[in-house]
Amino acid sequence: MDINRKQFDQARDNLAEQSLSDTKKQAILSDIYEQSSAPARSGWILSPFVRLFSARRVLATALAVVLLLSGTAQAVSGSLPGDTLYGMKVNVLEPAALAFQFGQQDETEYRLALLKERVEELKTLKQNSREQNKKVTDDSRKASRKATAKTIAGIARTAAADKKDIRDYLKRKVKTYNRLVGANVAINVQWGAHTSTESAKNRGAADSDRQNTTESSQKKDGQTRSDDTDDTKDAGEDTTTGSTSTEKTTNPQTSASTSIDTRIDTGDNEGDEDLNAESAGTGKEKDGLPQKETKDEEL
Amino acid sequence: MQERKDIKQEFERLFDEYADVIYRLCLYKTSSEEVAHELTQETFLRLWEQFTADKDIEKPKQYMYQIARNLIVDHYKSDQAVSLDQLQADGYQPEDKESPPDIAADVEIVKEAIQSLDEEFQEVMYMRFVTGMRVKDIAEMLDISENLASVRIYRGKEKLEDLLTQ
Repeated sequence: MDINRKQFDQARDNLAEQSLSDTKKQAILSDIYEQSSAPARSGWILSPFVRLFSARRVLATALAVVLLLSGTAQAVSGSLPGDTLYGMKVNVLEPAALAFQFGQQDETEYRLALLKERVEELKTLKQNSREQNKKVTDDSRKASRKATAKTIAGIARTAAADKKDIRDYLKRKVKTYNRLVGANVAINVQWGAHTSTESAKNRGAADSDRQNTTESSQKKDGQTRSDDTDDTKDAGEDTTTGSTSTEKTTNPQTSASTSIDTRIDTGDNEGDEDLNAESAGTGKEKDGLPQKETKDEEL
Repeated sequence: MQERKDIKQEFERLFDEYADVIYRLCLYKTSSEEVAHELTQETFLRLWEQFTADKDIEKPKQYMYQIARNLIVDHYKSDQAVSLDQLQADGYQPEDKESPPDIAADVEIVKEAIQSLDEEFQEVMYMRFVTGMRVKDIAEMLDISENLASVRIYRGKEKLEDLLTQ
């Protein structure tokens, strides 16, 4: 072996010193509590980044403005996916509020706050269903998904999407969202650069087209899917239906090199990955313990 | 509600005590700080889900270790590694601060040394000397007796000494 003792000791010591910073640990914990939709630690300090995009602050501003304009705004802004007023919230109220954001910074914050709002809506939806002992309806799920896809597409079109921290934040949110929404309607976002000469405007139009196609392909899926639900871990609280249909990519376009391509498909791809991970991770349990694997050679 | 608080306390105690251990384990196995961070998070997320699902986990440490190992295996199986390469090929550069190259080099050195040992010693060796776990914890995680764990560590150390002084 061509490693001497000194080299080894040094490397080992360096490695043994590695640890996660306190900030990272806090972020991990708050992410965990958020993803599992459990109440966050009381008095929990969110990472500065998350605090920066305080949904409440930004949404409150927007809401105040719109409330002046309309008396029914409150009912609209409190609506959830599947409600009659929800379409108005996503398509009228929020774009209107967006117009009241001055400067790119505010606009990005507002858009990120909207994404957070989408996750919160879904959580509330699930919470409500739990309380009423019902399942979240497919219509609500689809409405939620459509609105979320729209929100993500909105962010992806801005220059902010190129920043690593924002991208990481988005990824985390999408992950959380998918975990909550269920595999069959999960959102598949492709993070990466692409080659295209399309302008941002064209992409904007393309995005809404894409969502329409997605809706129709989803309907098709709904019909072909069998009735017996493929219950995964999620399904205890959730109406996750089997993700057996084949992947349909409804996005023939590619986006410009600077942005994230929010390819919206039926979500089966991402869902499957999730399920695989599940079965390989906690899925192999036996008597409460995952089974041992002797796969060291693969590592 | 009281019970829930207890669960949380116990979970956070485990997290505080073992997050770094699991992180170093993942770092050793994947050579990437970013991936190690992610896998650590996923490990504890799954542990937390078990906690909240009211499942009795008799040996949480062993459970934690197995989840981490399974996740590491999955990581290598999945295309994630490839897509990161792809990202980099597309011009994405991980921040320098995030992954100092010398850590990856250190991992390689330690790995090469430890992997030249017989298989039965490898696991205890990196657990003891890389992640810095106590013998008691190692025994618990591997579900072997403390005595056996310390014998393996001792003999592994001897063999490593031989190899390094050759």
